[in-house]
Amino acid sequence: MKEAIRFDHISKYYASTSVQASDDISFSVQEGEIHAICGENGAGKSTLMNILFGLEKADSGSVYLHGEKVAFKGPSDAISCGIGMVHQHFKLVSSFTVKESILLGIEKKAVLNGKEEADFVRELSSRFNLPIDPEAVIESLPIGLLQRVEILKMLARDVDILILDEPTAVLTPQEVGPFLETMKSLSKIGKTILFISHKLGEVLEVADTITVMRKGRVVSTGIKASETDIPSLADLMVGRKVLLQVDKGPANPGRTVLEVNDLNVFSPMGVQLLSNVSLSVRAGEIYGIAGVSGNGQEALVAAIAGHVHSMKGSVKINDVEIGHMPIRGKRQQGIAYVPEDRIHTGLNMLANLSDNSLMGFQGSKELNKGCFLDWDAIDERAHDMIERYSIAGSSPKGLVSKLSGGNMQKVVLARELAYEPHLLVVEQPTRGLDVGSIEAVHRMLIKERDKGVAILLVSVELEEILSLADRVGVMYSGRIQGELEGADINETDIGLLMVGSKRRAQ
Amino acid sequence: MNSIFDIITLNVLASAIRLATPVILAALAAAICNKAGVLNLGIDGFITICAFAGIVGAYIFRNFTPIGIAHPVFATYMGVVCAMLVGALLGLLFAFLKDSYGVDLTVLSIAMNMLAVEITVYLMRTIFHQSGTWSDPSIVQLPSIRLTLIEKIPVLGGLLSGYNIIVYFTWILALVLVFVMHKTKYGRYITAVGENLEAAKSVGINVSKVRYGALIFSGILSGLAGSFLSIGHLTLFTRDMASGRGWLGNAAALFGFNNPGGSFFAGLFFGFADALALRLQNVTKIPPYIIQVMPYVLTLVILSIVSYQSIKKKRKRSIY
Repeated sequence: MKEAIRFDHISKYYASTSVQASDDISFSVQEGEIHAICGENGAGKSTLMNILFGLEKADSGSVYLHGEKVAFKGPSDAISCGIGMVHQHFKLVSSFTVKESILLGIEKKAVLNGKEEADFVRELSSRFNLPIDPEAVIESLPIGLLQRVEILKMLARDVDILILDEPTAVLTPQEVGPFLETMKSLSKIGKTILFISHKLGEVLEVADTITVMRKGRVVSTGIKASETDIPSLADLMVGRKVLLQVDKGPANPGRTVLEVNDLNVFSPMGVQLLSNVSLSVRAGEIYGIAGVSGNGQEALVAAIAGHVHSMKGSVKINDVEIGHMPIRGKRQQGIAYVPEDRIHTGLNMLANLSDNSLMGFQGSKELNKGCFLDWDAIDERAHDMIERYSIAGSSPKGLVSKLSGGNMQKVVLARELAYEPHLLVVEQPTRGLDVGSIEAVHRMLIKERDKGVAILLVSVELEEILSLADRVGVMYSGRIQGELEGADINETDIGLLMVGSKRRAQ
Repeated sequence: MNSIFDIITLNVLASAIRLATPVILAALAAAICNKAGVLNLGIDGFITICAFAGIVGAYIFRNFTPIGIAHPVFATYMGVVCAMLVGALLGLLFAFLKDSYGVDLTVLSIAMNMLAVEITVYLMRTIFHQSGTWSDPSIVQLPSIRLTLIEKIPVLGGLLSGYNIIVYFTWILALVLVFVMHKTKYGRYITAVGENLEAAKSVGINVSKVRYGALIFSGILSGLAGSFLSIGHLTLFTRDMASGRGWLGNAAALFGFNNPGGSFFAGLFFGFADALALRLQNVTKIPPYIIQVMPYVLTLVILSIVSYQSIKKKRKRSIY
């Protein structure tokens, strides 16, 4: 096999955040292989790919393409040399059709010929066995197909090296399988694929060769996928043994904190989102809401911790009816809420850590001096949070947007726990986090449970429910399809309830 | 009471087309800018400055160049060219400040609109020693061009002929823009830059070129609109010459969903409302101040409808 890409002593330092994103990275990728690059969030995978793709410039070191030294000034340079990249966040124009998106920027003539373009896209999609309708409008397509458009966009530019940046992170479980097949078939026809991921199962399934990165360094390279397994890769990634199963003592449930009775929720268009949901969460226990996403979890969380358009039934915290309270009132009753989307809902990306930790507490006496905010106290408090929850790579005046996903989540959790809540509602707390951060977040939740907080955990990750929840309610089409407790909690039963089956497996 | 046909005569329609021309130009300018993602709310100010530049240009060419002294009409055409040049410079200034310094275009537009009225009055005072209006008898207006071939068409013929060059140019321009936006790669680039900057960048489209282009283009169209007001229709400059026509253009662009075709007809519609208002003042007893406010009320109503529609769309998308 011939060498496709070689990284030669690449280093990159971000002065603004004092992070050494790439530290003397050297390894090579062979032609025609699927080369997985694994590492936790913040290990420097994306930075390295951005350097390869010409989006960033390395401080030192060089990249060799087919044995020749290259330095791309921008993405178009890289593309014209045969390197294409599919970003984690798609770069598509939502009002365009598929053919317009694929051909944007590489139109042959100034005056367009719609039929010719559609034919080209059809030919392309059948050549690579990636079926798509050239006339479909981007905003109407599901995420799996958008990704296909992005890949076709690169293939239309005749690239022979494809960089896929965490491609499966955005896919539903059903879409992942076919996507991995696509990768394999692309590799079979001679494309070289750089597959960035921290999902080790997927990596082992498709990759030929694996490189593991940690904290900007290459820990190990040239690992053959056939000669390794998940635990040893996880060890390399994290640098220590990871507890894939968290240590958790038995729950000591106390009085009932949250009581939901016959709750019905309707959308502004009159669609019933929840029907007759009843559940209760006691102090000192974790109640897991399992289920395929979109089965009413959002409405349930909104009814408890947020705001819904219209509802019937009751939601009580410590015997106080809160269903129709404004959010501030709910919080005063002792609810804290960790939203699913930490980037848009949980945090203000334009603000620093102190600002974010202050949100909701701006009226508190300890943080004000007269009618002014007491910034010394606020920074001090933020500093305490950083220490207490070991939020890495951060300072009170540092922007939260520069943090890794796991550390962002810690900031949200730290702020919400500062309410000293009776009920903590957490939605998908570990989505998109790496192994180490998942463990840290799980530990935090269990610690709070043991302190006597009632926790409502909404998650679509079965493994998370299984390892954390003391009781489980499975949601299906706006109802609680069934409840499981203690030793009865098992994957098969939850799985059956998730798809709407009433009966339990024997 | 008069019947509707007594009020809306062929003359009213022709005057509607004339009154609509600057609004249509502003609408096309705004539409292209909106498409390219550079909201230009300074068009009203551009038009006022360009109206002044147009009449001053015409005056200078008429009185101080041999060719202008010999051919008064040529001087007027040169006035139009001056207005377009000044408009282009204003667009260039916007683009430069936005692109190189990241200045907020809305803030810039507010400044431009306030500056436009005052600077033209200041220049009028210091150069021509007039305060409210200024005109010079030597300047002639843009000649009407009669299209003899089209005039032969019954009924419609009279409506489509007898305007000055800017009116015809506006019609052709609208057609050309429809073609460019829908059938050429440039239209696709402009839309991509406006809708998803990152997407456009990632496929190697020169984003700042597109933005510069859109803003300079809007300046040139403002130049045409401005000179139409000061030397096309009259030969007179008054304080705040644009008097809201740029804003009407912004509204028309939104009303036409930023498509050149839609914006053209929206502009025409506003022009028609204007002409109707004038006509109603002459033939009915409705108090003039109510009639004068009509086009603006109409704008408000239409914008409310448009924005309500988009809110409804948004609501449909998200559940909460």
